[in-house]
Amino acid sequence: MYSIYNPEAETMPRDKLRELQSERLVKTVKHVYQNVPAYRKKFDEAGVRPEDIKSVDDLTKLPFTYKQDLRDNYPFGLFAVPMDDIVRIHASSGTTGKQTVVGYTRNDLKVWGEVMARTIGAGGVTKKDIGHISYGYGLFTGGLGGHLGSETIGCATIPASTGNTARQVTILVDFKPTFLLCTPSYALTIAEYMAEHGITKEQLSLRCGFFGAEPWTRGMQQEIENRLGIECFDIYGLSEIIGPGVAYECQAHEGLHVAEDHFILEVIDPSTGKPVPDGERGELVFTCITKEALPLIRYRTHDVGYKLPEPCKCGRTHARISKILGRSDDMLIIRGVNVFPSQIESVLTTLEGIAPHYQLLVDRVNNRDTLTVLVEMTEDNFTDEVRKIEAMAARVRKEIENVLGISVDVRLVAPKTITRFEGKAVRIIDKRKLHD
Amino acid sequence: MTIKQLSIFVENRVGALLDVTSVLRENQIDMRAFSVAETTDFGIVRLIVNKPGKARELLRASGLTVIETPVIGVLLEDTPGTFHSVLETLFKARISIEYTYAFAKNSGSRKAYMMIRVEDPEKTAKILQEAGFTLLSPGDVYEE
Repeated sequence: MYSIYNPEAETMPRDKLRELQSERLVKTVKHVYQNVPAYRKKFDEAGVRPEDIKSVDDLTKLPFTYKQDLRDNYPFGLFAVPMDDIVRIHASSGTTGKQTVVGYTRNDLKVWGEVMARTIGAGGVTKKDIGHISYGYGLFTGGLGGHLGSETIGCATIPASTGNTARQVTILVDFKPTFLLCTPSYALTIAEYMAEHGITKEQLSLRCGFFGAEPWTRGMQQEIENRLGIECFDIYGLSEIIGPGVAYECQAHEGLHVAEDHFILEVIDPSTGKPVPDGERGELVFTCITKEALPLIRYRTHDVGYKLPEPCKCGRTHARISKILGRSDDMLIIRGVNVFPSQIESVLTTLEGIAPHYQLLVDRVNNRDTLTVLVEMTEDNFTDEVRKIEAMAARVRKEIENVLGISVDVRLVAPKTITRFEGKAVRIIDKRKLHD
Repeated sequence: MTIKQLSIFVENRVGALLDVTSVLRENQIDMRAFSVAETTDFGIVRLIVNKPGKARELLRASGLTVIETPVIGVLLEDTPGTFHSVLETLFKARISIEYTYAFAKNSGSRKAYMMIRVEDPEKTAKILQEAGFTLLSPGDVYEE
């Protein structure tokens, strides 16, 4: 007996689902063509008119949407409804200084609540449960998305957010939440804290946990399961599509179901844009068919995975994707936050006297991701005074932290340390083992 | 009357100083004074060598960051209180010392020089000379 929050939607026969997708796709295409100048331009350039889209079969006639499009139309240029109808704004990291901004209408929040409810419902959560939401509350979609799902089901929801592990553990012990939402590495941080303070998993009432926002291996999953005594579920999402809730693991633990009545999934070859056969690796592409404010069409996620073609034993008819296997760009995820090396480059070039020669050292120490930015000390910015050099390093660090939204270490190094190769420099040294 | 000191940025790791000294050794450059200012993450090596121009080029070519800083060398007779009088002179003129270190000109000599870094070396040199102190001249140090 597998838990399913919305059996009518989640076990819908494939032909009915496809019909529903086609209906919704047609409506969405008309909606964005009419209301978003940038999409009208895109479609016109691709030689596509809304009338050409009659079903899901016509999806590949539509042009792709890229993060660049969000950047070019920053902040609200891609919204398909007037600002009066927007009731929520969220943002996540952009490739340079600018954030990627997303918006929601009241109905969009209902959709989000629905898909998040399906996500935690897949783990057996009901209104009798108490939820501990340890994703950051704020512009990032993790905290408020998880919160919405938990409230939609009707659970007593604890908005714990991130940080202050001591207090989080006190809440876990005293308030007795039954499910947890956070990044996998934070779950291990909690386990570590408990071990150091003699708190056993028997003191917790947690039954299950939903982890995402960063890649994690089977090894990490095992560790979380053992140390916290809970069943782990992998969740997937991105703010451009809706936030968490795009895909979620069921109790069969064999892949993540995409909420296909809300998001059409494609897996493509990133270099050609053509779909790959089911089961083959490619870049995940999503089309939003129920959102009103920002329904993106064929959005290139840069996440690499594959579609599992067989039906799932849980009874859901919606397609499953594998765990995310990597990126088709150079984005890093540090403590659940997206970081683009180009963001750092843009900071260094705008700071006076700093050469844009840098390297990023990424590691995981005590379950916590660390990012050290090695910045070259050139003659232009070298002074003979220790004070001034330290002030410079502090300034660089502050600027980078402002742009990235996470704390980093900055180390000044001699030019010879940053290895130079012919052509592309080795910018990133990632010592973490993130994928099996 | 200022002397060219080389300031070299070094990382705080094992072997960092060897990067400097191996360049000097390979090229027969003679070191006259040496000091290191350290912090947790890095250090600044301050060198007085007999061929500052050549040394600078060579160190740079080896991938190090080097700049030249003008410093003053004040001769100290080997009697108690000599350095104190230098400092008194600077104090009276309200001159702030950034840093200072010793330099022995010749082995066997009983004279030492204190290298001093100040904000305005030319003005400070004049004040010290007018007060009767002998300063190190470039000719005493360089061989290029």
